[in-house]
Amino acid sequence: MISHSKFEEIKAGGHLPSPKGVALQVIQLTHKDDVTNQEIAHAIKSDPALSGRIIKVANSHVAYQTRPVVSVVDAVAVLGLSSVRQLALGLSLMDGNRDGACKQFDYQRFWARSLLTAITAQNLVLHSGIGSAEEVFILGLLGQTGALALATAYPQKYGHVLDRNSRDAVAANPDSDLAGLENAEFGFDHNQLTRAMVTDWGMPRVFQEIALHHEEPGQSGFAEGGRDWRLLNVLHIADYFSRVCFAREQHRRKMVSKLILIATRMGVELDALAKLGDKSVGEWREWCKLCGIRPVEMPPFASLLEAVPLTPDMLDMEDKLPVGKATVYNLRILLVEDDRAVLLLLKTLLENAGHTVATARNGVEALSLIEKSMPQLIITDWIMPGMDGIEFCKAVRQNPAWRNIYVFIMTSQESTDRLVEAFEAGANDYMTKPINPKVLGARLRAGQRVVQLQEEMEFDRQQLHKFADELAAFNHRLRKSDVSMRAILNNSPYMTWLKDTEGRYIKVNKAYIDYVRLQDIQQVIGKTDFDFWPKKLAEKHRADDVEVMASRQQKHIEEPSLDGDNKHWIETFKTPVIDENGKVLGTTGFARDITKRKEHEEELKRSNAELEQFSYAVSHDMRQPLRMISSYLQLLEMSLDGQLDSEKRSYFDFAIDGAKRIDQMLVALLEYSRVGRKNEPSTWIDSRAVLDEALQFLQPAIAEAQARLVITGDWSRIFADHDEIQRLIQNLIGNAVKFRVAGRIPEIIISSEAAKNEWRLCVADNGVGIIPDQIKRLFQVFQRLQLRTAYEGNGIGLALCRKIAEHHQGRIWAESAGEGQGSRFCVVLPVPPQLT
Amino acid sequence: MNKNRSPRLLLVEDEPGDARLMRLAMQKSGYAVDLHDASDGHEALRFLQRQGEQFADAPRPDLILLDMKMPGQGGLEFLEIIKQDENLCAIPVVVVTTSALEADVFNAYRLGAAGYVLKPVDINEFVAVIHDLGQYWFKLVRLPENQE
Repeated sequence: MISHSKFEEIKAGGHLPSPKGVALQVIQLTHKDDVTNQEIAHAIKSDPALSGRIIKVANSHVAYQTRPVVSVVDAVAVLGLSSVRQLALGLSLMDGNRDGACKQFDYQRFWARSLLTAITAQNLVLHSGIGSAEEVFILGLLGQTGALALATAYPQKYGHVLDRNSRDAVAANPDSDLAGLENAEFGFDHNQLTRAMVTDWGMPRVFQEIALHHEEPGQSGFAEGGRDWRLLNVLHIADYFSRVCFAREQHRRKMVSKLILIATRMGVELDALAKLGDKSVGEWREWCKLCGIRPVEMPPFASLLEAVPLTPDMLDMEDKLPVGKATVYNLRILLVEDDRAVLLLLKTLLENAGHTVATARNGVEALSLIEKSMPQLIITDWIMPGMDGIEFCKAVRQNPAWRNIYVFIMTSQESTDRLVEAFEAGANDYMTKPINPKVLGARLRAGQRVVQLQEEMEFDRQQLHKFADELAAFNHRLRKSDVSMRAILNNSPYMTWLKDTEGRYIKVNKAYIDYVRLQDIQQVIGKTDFDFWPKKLAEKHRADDVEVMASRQQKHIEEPSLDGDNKHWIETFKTPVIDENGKVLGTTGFARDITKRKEHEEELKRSNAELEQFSYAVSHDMRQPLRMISSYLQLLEMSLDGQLDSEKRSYFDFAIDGAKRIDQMLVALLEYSRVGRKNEPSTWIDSRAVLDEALQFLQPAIAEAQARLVITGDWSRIFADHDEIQRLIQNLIGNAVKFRVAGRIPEIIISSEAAKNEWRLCVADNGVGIIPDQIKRLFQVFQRLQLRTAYEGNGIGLALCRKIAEHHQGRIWAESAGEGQGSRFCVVLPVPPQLT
Repeated sequence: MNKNRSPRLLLVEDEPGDARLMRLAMQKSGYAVDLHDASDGHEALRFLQRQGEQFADAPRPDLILLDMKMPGQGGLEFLEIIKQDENLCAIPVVVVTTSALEADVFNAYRLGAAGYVLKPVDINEFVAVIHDLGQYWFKLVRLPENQE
């Protein structure tokens, strides 16, 4: 940094460029408190060149005025004293320093470039509407004065510095480090000297700082986005712009791309930059003529811009989005921007921050991209060809699927009306161009939070939707199942109901409605039995319900129900309804009219009684007259004793015998008819014990026949009627003993077998056997296969056995190899699972 | 029972043939009995209660032989009535019948019958049964004294 004493030393040497003549007079006048515009104008007019230049500056600022500034007085009025003073100073310096001692310093070129910087800065300010144009004009004009001063004060030394610098520049770097060389040589650089001079000329502090930093605006320490900051950057762009214009052809290309970027960062887009550049160059030519300065040749600026390809590597990424925590949540961003420089800059910024960026050059293209790129966030420019940002935003919002996309609109100017328009179009936020990376970062974080929240909400919403869908489907199934359940219930012959603990009906089916002779289920719901039935019956129902709820057991009830004049029998199953916690919620009931069944039961009783009657007839009414026949025949025979010859006596005997056999048959028939009609239920009996009892009865016959009996097998417990099974066994063994072959010792094998769920009894003998085609007749009533004279019997024994087997749901069969070959009788009875 | 006179029997039997057989069986068994007939329960009751001119002098029987099935009042109904009559309930009643139905046997004893005798088909067996019956009731058992 240049010290005050050093500056004073240089100044004292009289080598610093300083105002002279009219300019000095004007400057001194402006320091007077009571100076008038007239006085200033008068002084300026004495120098026609200065007059023309001041009028030109005034006119360039007031282009919007209807009337151009033509007089110096007007120009002074328009520009103001302070500007006039500084203009006088600058123009005076230019006039006074057209040439100098430093050979390497091109004085003409210096002023030409300073003019271009001033004009460009002025145009930039006019373009963006910041600051005052004349101030920036003066800054542009005087911004490099330090270099002029160095050339003036140290022509030799500075010449060497410039030599070295231009060698470096040619060799490699268009943005060569002139300041570094100056510092090495003098201990300060031209910018520091400029600042000291500007300070010395009494210019405002802001001017001093801008003068110092305009080549490296990042070091200014100005609040970003503030007026001073913007002014500084305007000067920076303007300075660089003029540098580009004066650069060698081979350097220009690279410099143009940097210019585009610094301009873009300041919100000066390509089109504007191109227009602005050409406009400035045009004006600059006029100024050169006016000031007698030789302009340099350069191609149209727009063509320079066009020729430059934009690639991310051009960006020196000093511009970075601040990476906050929220940036971890990366976004899919759609960037809509017609300016390729802005597009590139933002895209690079966003991608470097980890976001995924799709780009579109206008609204139409963007709309076609949304479906594919599924952006969570859209950053769109406002002014674009074709569909602009507002139209685009409205179009996005019309699609319900896109309503959650967070939309930024970028505006060049911030005005209430524009903001309102943007928000009304559906934007979530706006950003003012130029886009400040810090601001963009902060806004993105806000956007991210919203997007994140929205996505969470969307997720929740989808979950809710899913649940709702599932619920709907469940309800549908439920309704369907309810419908089918109702269909089942309503088609059930059983009256079905559900009652709460107080006995109020909650649900009933159609059978119930029909039974109580009501039209509608709703007439029953909420009512109790006391609403439908006589008090006594309702009390009985209620008592049953209470009992069922208390016992938690199903109850089966058969009871007469008084229904009008008819006496009905109702069968009811009442069951407690118990929830998973064991709480009794009420009762369900199933009931049906069993009057018909009861009638059948009555009929069965009657028919049983008739059978009883029949039995009685057989046992008494038929046998009584038979007894008369046989008894009186015998009495007759007795009374005729001595008068009958043997033949007549045999007549009597046949008649009496016949009557007696009928009697035996009647007794057998009675026995046969009574199988299964006894009211004794089956019980668990020991089959071996039953066998022994049967053998006891048969003992005399067995002894008489000298029969040999073999008892084998597993004699298990069976579930049967004791008396009937005893009779069955007795008949089978009795037959085996009875139907023996004369002269052959009867050998009888009695075996029992307990198989799976059944009991098998077999009685095998070595007796008379059965002619095979006679086997099927064996088990019929009164069928005899043997002569009655040879074998006693009533012809009912095996029929009785079959009936007993069938009564026990079993079966009986006979096997024989043939006559005289013995036979085998088998019985199989089912045995239910035995309860232990 | 007065030992000086014959046992007095009331035979309640609707079938004349059977009543005749009973007389014959008594004779063949060698019993001198004073046998009275009634053709059904109603008549037997009138006899016992000496109702009407016909039965004004009816003697009180020492033993009643009762058939089961009769037109009019049946044997079991008759049995039930006289066993509830405090004047008549002391007279022993033996059921003599063709019916071998268990229900009949059971009900007869339940209502107070003193015996149940099945009539055999063979006359000789019949006579034997009546003989045994007489042996018991006329010889072994001391029938309650008649008031007259």
